[in-house]
Amino acid sequence: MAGGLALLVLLALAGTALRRMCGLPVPGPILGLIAYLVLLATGRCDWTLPAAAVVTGLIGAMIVPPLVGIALFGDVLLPAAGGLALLLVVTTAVTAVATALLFRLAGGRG
Amino acid sequence: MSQLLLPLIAATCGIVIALFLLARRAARAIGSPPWASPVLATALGVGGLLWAIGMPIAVFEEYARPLRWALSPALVALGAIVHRDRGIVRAQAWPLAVAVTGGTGIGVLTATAMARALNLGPLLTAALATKTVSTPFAVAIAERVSGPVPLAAALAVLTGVVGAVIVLPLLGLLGIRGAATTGIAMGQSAHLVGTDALTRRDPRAAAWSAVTMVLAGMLAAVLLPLAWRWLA
Repeated sequence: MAGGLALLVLLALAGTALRRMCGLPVPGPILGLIAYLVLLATGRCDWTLPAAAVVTGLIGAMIVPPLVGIALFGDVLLPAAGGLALLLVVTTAVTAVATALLFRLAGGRG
Repeated sequence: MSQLLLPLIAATCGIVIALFLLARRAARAIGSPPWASPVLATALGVGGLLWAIGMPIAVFEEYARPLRWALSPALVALGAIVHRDRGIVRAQAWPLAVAVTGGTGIGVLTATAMARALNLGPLLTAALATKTVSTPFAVAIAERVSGPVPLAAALAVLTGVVGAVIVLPLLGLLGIRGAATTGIAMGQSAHLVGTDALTRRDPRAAAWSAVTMVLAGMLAAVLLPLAWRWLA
């Protein structure tokens, strides 16, 4: 478990370091994610999967602070609340239906 | 001061995680209905707690900062989901690629266009550009382009809650069925919360949803920083 966690942290840090060194537009952890996919594809990193499962299971807790922080933006959000609610419903509905149709149009099954 | 700070930070993060695990257990106990988002419930609980003990939100954010640092390794860990479900990705690689590419483009463009049309202002428009990707990706992108991180994170979560409630009934109304199609539509539009809501109802659809969420997040993380000046 500890080794798996260490690998995940290491890959995130390495991604950020590489991003800074090369001045890439991609966020650093994404580079770490891509490297992790490559490592998993070699079949030699399955021992890290339990740690990855624990960490992804806690993402919900990690995004609580920014959600609480929304209260700091009351002056931006409250005047726009009606429009914002309409936007979230309409664009989420359009995105879902368009994605489903695109999948079927491209020959997707099931 | 510094001797006091570490226990405070540990206690804050520990309480948030404990409340989240509790909320998740409670949501599962009542059958994980889409409106019962453990994330939203925990945020409300934390908000109430802060109000009760009189701790300013800005101070809480400071103490809870390690949780935001943890989002980076968590983003890396999401690779395990794609690895786990690589079989379904390979089986329908082309239609999945079309759906994720088109869905991400439509998700980003409808949000920014409608934000402009409704005159929501530059701050909200920037925060809404990442609403169609799950929160860890939204945070990483907003950090990269120096965008409004907390707003982008919060709007991504709210989008997930909205999608978890409306997407399945909407697709049903339009006669769109099938685990792959509904899962992909959910993962693209409602990402984390939507996938969570699917997990109990239809595990096969949830697998499609999870894979779509990660692939869409990766695509957006590569493309959005490049296109940022035209979007926000």
